[in-house]
Amino acid sequence: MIATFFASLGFVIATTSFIGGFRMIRRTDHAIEASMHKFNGFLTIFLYLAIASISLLEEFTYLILFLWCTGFGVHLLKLVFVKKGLAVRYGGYMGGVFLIIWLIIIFNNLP
Amino acid sequence: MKVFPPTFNQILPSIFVVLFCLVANPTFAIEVHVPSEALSIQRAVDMANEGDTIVIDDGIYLENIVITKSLTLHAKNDLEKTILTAKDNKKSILTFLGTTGGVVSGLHFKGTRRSGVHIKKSKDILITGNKFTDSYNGIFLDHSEKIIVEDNLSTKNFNGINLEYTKSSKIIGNSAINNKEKGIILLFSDLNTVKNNIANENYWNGITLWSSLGNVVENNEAYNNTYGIVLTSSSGNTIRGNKTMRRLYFIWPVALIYFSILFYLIERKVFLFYFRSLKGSKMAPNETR
Repeated sequence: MIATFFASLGFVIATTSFIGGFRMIRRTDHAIEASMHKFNGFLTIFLYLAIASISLLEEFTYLILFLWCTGFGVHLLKLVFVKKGLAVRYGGYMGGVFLIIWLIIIFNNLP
Repeated sequence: MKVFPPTFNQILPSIFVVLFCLVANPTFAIEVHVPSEALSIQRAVDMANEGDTIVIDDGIYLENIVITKSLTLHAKNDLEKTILTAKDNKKSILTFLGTTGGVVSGLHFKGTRRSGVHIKKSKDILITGNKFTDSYNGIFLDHSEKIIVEDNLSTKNFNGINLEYTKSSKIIGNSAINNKEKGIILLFSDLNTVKNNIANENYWNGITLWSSLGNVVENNEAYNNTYGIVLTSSSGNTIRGNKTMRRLYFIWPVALIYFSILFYLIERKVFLFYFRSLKGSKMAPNETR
């Protein structure tokens, strides 16, 4: 049940972050949107790691570990793009990938 | 008053009582301890007589046990420490074959491509307080009658509890949860009682009745299965007081997307309020438009 709760919360935060990211590109209230986007992004990563930990504690195989690490790698790649100033060019694609990752997580943890 | 030594007339009634007991009950049920008295459970079963009890000490036992007489099997201590697993995983871990009477309690059956406990052509057997994991069927009742399956946990199997061609049996207070196919199945099984069980989070059906007649399915819980209680080609069954709710499949993510939009609007208001309060204290961030 706790994994379902975290997955649902993570999906909500990821979608909120996705909306915020698009509005940020439009540059309306940039500072507020940027802070929200950053806050939601790090919260999403925290929730992702929490669900990954629960999943790996329940069942550990190297394949599952690899899949969780791949997802985490995508999150880190987004951070690299932001640091290198490529977020505007690739941010939309990354957001789409995040949503797919969170959809997979939510469908594996449906209530 | 003088008591000792007793006279022959004084001890004569006692002699009669002892003789009566011996005649009335010529064999006494004994306990066989595994592994101290018999190295394996099957060895203990072979050594035991009708009505004997086999007490199993902590450990992992790699066996395929077949019982053809009325015996009681129970763990000496903790269920989690007394694990029975299949030596040949194409066979069931424990099979009752053509048996009348028997008890299995407090054991953990784990890991076979058949059944944890397979009761075949038997009757009057009690299966209580056991755990069944990582098998095809946790408990499989096959062409049997008057079997009581009570307070067991069957999880991470393909099917939790499976009844085929079984009648007049009671499935009471068990948990058949998180199985890869179905929780409790009655196939061509009549006049059984399925009561107070929890059949949650199974991949397909919580409780299934297929070509089964006159069963009572009462006060069970079947949440988060694809389907809660399924009846196919079954009639004359009493289904009452059960709690069911289907898994929320596609509805839940869609609802979460709507909730995300709402959450975004609320969060934005909160951040706006925060930044305005910062502006008030001359610490406003560099807003751009």
